[in-house]
Amino acid sequence: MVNVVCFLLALSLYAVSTLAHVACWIGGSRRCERLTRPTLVAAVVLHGSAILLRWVEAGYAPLSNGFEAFSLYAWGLSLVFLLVGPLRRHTALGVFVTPLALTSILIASVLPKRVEPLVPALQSYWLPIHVGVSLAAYALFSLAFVAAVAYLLQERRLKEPRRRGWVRQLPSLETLDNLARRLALVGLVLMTGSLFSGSLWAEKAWGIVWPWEPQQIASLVTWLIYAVYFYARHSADWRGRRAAWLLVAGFVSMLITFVGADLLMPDSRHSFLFGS
Amino acid sequence: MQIIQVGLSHKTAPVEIREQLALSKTSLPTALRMLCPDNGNCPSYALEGAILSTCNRLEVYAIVNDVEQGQHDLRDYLARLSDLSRVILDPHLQVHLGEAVVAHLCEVACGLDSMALGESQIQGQVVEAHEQALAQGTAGTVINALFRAALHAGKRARTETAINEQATSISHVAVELALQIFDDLPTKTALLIGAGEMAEVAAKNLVDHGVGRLVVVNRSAGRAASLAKQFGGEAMGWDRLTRALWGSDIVISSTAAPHAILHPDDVALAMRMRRNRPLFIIDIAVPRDVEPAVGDISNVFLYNIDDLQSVVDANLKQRQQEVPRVQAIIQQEVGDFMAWFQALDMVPTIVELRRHVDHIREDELRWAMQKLGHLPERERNVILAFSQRLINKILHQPTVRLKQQVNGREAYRYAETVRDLFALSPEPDCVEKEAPYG
Repeated sequence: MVNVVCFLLALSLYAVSTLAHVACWIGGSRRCERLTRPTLVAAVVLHGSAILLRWVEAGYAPLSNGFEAFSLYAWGLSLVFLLVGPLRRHTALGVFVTPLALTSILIASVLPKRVEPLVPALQSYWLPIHVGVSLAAYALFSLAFVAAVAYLLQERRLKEPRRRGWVRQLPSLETLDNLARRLALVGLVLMTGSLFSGSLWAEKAWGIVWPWEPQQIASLVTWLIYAVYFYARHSADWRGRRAAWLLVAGFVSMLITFVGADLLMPDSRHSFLFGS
Repeated sequence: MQIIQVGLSHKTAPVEIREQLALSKTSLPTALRMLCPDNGNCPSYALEGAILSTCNRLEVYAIVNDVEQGQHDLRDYLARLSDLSRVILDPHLQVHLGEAVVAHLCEVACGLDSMALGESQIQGQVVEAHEQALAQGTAGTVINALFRAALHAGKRARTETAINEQATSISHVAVELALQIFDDLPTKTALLIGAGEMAEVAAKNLVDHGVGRLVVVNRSAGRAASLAKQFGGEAMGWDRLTRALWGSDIVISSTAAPHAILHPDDVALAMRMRRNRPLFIIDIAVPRDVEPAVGDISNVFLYNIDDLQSVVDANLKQRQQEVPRVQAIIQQEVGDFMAWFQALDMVPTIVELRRHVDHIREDELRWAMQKLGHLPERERNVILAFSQRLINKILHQPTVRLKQQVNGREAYRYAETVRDLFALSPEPDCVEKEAPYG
């Protein structure tokens, strides 16, 4: 139960941090920056303890159902953001990251939170490896998406000098482009790990390396989009806007992999998110 | 003792008058010594004084005994400095008295009175004016506190509000935009095509902000070479213009050509050669040097002179919105200063001193009467008279002395000392505050 209390406290801190980020953005004030980051740090620390407590309580890595997956995704997203965020020019991206994390943690909050004994299908050491690596990849792809969206907003503003919109205090185009590329690169490596670990687990559990699971197909599509992103960057000099749109597409595909496949095909062997 | 300010600025006087009163760094000390000479031989215009001299203003801040006389003297003083007659000079002079002086200096330090709203150079100039006055010994307690209050207001305005954020000149906007496109300027190359004055300023700004390399292309090879030398860049011949484009990240174009010199084809080719790395083109020429269609090419950011001006206008508007917040800060600082300054007045100090001692007398008298118990009327009166006579005798000489000082140069120092010794009022705010330039 303690872990749920911690989780709910963390949730409210995420909400406060999101509000602070949005207020900062709209108000354009420098003073509220004193609030945005500390609240997010507190949320991540508290959330991390909630996850750890749950791990101890359950006796297995908390990666087995929807609550745990959404919760861990939100945590990973915020943690990685905090790690790349200390560079002052990145902090403005928090206005996109925190709502994303908050949405995920709100979804988690409405899902069943009870610690249940692990179903036999998941009793494997592959569980923490496969799910952990996948969620990490999702978190990085999401941050790459945030950088890409920020790029597109900043680019549109710079392309149309006469229009002074609500976009302000964003990092430079080059910074955003580089940041997105680096995040996507790490994401792609992790996604490769997710595909491999999934195949190995499938081979071990069902004796088939590639059972054409919906989520597996979606993963492959996602992987391909990011692979195309890097190919286009390096051989066709796709930079900036086009590359950013590819990252947006990659994010949509990633969402389908994460959530959509589960929603559309509730009977598949990957359906653990929303219970059955 | 009064605070007074007499002077002129770009708001009150045309440049023909202002240049008459421009003081160079070398003539400022002389002017200050003339304002308040430390030997008694020369006539003194003021008890304390400081002169704020910039290209847009010359303002004398002074402490005088009498407002009317002081105003007259300072007008004479400025006439003497400028070699202009009072008849010509007077209509352009702006006078502030008392609290208005404090508010004015605060506004000046915050950049509210500047040509470019909120600019920060003025803060340094106010520091300079104060330092000069300190060096010449013309700044005393009041001038020091006055300048400290204004500098504090200026510092707060720039950290607590956005009055100084976002560029308000074309060349600064160009740099600001470059920083929104590029990550680090030291690895970037700027290309200067042609040589208008504004283009030079923009190029200089870019170099000052650390642009790594500067290439100059000009129809006149000699002009290109001299410009390149001036900024530590390199010159290239006109025939290599398109080639120069390949290696440049920022292009500033301002030729006198009657037609466009950069066409979409050239730029598209350049973009392929530079592997689509962003290209920032600033076209300051009229008629325009760069075909508008160039701006449609992806990763090319084209700004013409009107685009830059519209950014400047929008930025100024944003600064304008910050003015009320700066005014609120100024109000606080003026309030703090005035509370301190009014406490320096001699007459209330004397009144308070007497009241303070009288309180002590009453307390002690009550104590003595209680100890003595019932006394006949006559004895009671003697003791009462004794206490009054005692404090009157003790306070007589100090009161006379203090009254003699009322209009003296050291008046506030006496007042301050008396207040301090007898703990007449809480410590003045302005002195307690951090004094970054004190």
